[in-house]
Amino acid sequence: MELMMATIVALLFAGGTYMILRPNFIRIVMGLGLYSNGANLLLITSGGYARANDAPFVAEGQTQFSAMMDPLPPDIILTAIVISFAVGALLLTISYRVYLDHGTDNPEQLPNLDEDEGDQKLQHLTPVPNVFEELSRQCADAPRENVSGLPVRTAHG
Amino acid sequence: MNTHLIIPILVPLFTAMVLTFFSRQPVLQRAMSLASALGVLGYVLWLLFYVDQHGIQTMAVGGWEAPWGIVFVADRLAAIMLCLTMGVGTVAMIYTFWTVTRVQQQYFFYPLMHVLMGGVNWSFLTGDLFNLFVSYEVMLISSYAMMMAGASRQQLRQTFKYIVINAIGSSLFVAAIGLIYATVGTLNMADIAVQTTQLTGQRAAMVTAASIMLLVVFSIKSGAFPLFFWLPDSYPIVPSGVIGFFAGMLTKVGVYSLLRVFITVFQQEGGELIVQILLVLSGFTMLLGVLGAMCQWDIRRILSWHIISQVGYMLMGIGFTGHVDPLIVNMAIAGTIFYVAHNIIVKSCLFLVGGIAERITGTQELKKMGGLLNVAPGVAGLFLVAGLSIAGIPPFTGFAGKFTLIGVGFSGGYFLVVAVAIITSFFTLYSMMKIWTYVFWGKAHESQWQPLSYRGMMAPTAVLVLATTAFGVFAQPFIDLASKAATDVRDPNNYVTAVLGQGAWPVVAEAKSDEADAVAADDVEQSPDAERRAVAVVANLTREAH
Repeated sequence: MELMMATIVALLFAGGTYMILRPNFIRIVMGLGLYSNGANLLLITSGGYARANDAPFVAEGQTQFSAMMDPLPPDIILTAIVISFAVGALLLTISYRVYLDHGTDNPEQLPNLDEDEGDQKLQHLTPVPNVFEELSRQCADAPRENVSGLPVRTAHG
Repeated sequence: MNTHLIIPILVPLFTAMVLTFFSRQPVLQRAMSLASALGVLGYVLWLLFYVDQHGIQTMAVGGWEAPWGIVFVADRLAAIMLCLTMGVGTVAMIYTFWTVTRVQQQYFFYPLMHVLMGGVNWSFLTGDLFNLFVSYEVMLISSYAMMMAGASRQQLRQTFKYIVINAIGSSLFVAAIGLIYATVGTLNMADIAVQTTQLTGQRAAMVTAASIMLLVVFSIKSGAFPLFFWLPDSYPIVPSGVIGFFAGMLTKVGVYSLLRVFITVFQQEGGELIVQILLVLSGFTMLLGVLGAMCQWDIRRILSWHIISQVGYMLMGIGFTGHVDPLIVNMAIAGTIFYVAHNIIVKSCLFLVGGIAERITGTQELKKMGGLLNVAPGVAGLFLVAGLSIAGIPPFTGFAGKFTLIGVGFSGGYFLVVAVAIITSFFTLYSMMKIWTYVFWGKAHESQWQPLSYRGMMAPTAVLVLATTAFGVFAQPFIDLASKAATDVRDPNNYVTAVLGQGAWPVVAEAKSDEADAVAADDVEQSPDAERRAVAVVANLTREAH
């Protein structure tokens, strides 16, 4: 059992490394997901899951105990999963935004810091046009298409 | 049990929560931010005095006792770092009142700043390895968001790279925690210290292997030699003002973790390997960092490369702790702590001055700046002090820090790395002279300048300049404090006793039966004596220097 878990962890880490080295945003994010899964499996194995099969619950009045699994690693993994989930969501959002801005999902085709357009460097000095405000203004300006099928209410009633 | 220890973590997080409700009221937001930050600053200053007087304070979260529950520990080192975080954080926050844009502020700039400070404080206070991971994530996630504040093309792109490398680091951190838990059976730092003293053979080798994974993680965070490449590309895009806090604090969290985890916590047989690796890495970090800075022509990138080179000095200090003489180890740790404090203040200060120069000239490129000496002599004065301090010219803090570290290196016989440190110091001076020549001397390109006010920004920067001067001129009490903190770090006895209770530290009994030799410095009765000797030696060194 432990050998099997070790093999799976090794495969996950190897696959994750391969994916992270691919020139594609989505693959990189997936590779990070494999990494965090590998690390979590390693933690599960460290809790003695392979040797003790009983859940760590004690019934009222129980005096006989068999080998229990350590309850701490699942607890730790829960936290780690939530964190990697949040970071993964953030990364997907950013990779989509980078794709929108640069028109590519290949990190090798992105410009370096010093070969970039000069005006971008100063964006912190002057108020920048904000994407969200821009979008909401465009939405407000655009003629509304009635997709709901309901009668449209205009200002005149 | 000191419930108040949670204040530096909870108050910033709570402030952040409240501030999100007032995102449309900039003045109210700033007032509340400042009030909260000043309040926590006052608390941590009191905590430093209290810990210095009464010893290490601990707090078991939720009332769960130490080896099982999560514990927060404030020793002198943690209290010093808390004071620096809140001090530099407050100063950087006041500075951002002039630089933050309306849009940035609407999109939760100040709440994120508070989360960042809360996360940094958390990582200094925690006494549990997994909790350290969680605090790192809190800190990192808010730093991702701050880095993107404004969401320009450049920021998004560089932040993506920054997140990817840090996410790899986080996975390695979790894996290392798994290995340590499997071998030692605990994640409480004090308990790991107790358990690892008895480890030998294969199990010790396993812990060493896991701690090398931790070394990779902390090296990514602190920007040490082969893993520094993300730093000079991602720091220049951080919004002006906050970059002072980023540059000063975030890499030093990595250095603090190295100091805490590898010196206080891991005591297993063969654990010295890490320290030896760090000594080798430190030379490369220093030299490559400063060489990278020399070929840059952008003020932020020069300063970012210098962060790396300065981290090299701190790693060198940690590397010296591999010496057999406990006196030298003590002085090395004291020197490192003093250097970390110096660097946090001065590095933030340099970035803040750089921000003022950028604001006046409207560019980050050295060759397009120039002539600031006539226009803004005050800014030139601020830069002069900070630049001389980081290059190690007396009487500023850089001199006291470098002098202590290099003195320790000579007495420990580490001549090669000390030679590298001295060469690096010359190159640092060259870089600072380059900035001085191109930014403050020369002809002014006034046509590009922007009519933005900068005078208010000088006030928070001046606070940091005053701090580096004061700590440099009156270095003695601060070096004394650092060497007292170093005793706590080097000898886990106090730390373990404070967390796990009297008699938990096994080495004391052994040393008593062994009677006095070099090991006996670990003994309770011996340690004040060793401390006094260390203080006396450093005092002599400093007196000669002055």
